[in-house]
Amino acid sequence: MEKIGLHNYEAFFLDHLEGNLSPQQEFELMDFLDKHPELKAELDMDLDELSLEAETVSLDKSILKKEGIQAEDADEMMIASVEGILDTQEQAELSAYVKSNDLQRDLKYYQSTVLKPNLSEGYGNKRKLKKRNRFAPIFFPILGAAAIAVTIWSTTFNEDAGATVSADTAFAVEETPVLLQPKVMSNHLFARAFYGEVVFEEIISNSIHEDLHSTSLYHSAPLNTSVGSSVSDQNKGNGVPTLQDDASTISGDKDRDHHK
Amino acid sequence: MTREEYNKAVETYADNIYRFVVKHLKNADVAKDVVQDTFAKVWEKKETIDAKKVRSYLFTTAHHTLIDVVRKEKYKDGDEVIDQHYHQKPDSNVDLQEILHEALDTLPEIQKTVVLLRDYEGYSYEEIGEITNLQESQVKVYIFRARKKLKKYLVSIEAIID
Repeated sequence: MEKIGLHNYEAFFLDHLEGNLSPQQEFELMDFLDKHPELKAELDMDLDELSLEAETVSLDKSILKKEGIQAEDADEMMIASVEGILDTQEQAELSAYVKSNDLQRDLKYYQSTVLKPNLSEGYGNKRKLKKRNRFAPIFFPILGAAAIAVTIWSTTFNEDAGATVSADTAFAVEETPVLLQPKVMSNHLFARAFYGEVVFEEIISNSIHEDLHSTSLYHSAPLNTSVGSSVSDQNKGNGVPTLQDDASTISGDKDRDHHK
Repeated sequence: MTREEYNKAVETYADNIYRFVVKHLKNADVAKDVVQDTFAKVWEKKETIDAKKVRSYLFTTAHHTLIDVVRKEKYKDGDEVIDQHYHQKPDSNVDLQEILHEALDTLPEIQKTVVLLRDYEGYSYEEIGEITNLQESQVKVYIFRARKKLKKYLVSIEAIID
């Protein structure tokens, strides 16, 4: 605090009356009053005369109190009950209130406002929402080229569909499923594969599906079956050469040697 | 979120999202579009989404997408139909849930949203607030108002509740 003077003595007086001055400041104050005795009267006033006393008022507090459930809160309480946000005591109070005011029906109506989903209603086919692994882009040209090659190969063999596979080339092979029948993947699928729109799983599942449903393409013949029998016979009328045909043709010489 | 987690989310929540959306739009095709759009948006952001919070993220996205669609298309059909039925006493064979879902259409969109999230999905007020970008207290007020209206509707048509 700065030194006492005529410009600030009131503050010192007030602090003196409130007992907030240090001994040093008290000493300075006394010294100041000796120099300015005309100000002593101001310091002698009684602070108690200046203090305010609170008036005695009375208020009916019962109008503010919340005891039990009020009629205007009944709906809120019933909804809160339906919402499951009442504690045990509140729930008990509500039950008593509902019973004493005959509000059971209202409570039941509120309880009936809870919606239940119709679980039979759904999005349906979620497959189109799912994401599957695609071929890496590097395989797209390879896949496209393979698609074209197989298509050409398929067309070429189809031209010979009517011809019977010669006895020399028609060898039964070890029990091996047909890997991929040329028409298994439709042109549409090939086209999509070419442009990278077909996912790996789709091709595989398509192939498997076709394999499973094209039992005529599944050749199961034991080794050493007599030459010229099963394969050509099975393919007769089918008109569709298989990779197995190709395999048997390719391995014909070896098998022939073996049979010899 | 990985691809696997995303696909699992599709399997788990696609139906829930659809039901939530179709209750607003009353149009299965448009609702399916919204579901598809929702999942597409989630897929785009999969890197930033925690798989544990995907459900909430899906509903938030669906809600926003829904708002856009409603604003653009103004799917308000159904209100008139509901009004016609408003004071008709229903056939006693009509299921209470059917009536209640009719009553749902009389609610403002935001009330419908919060009630559906509450009843269908069991979300807390706080979670609904996060999805709808509302204060928790606002959510509670909307739900309370909605229940009052639904109850009023049931009473008005003397729905059988026993």
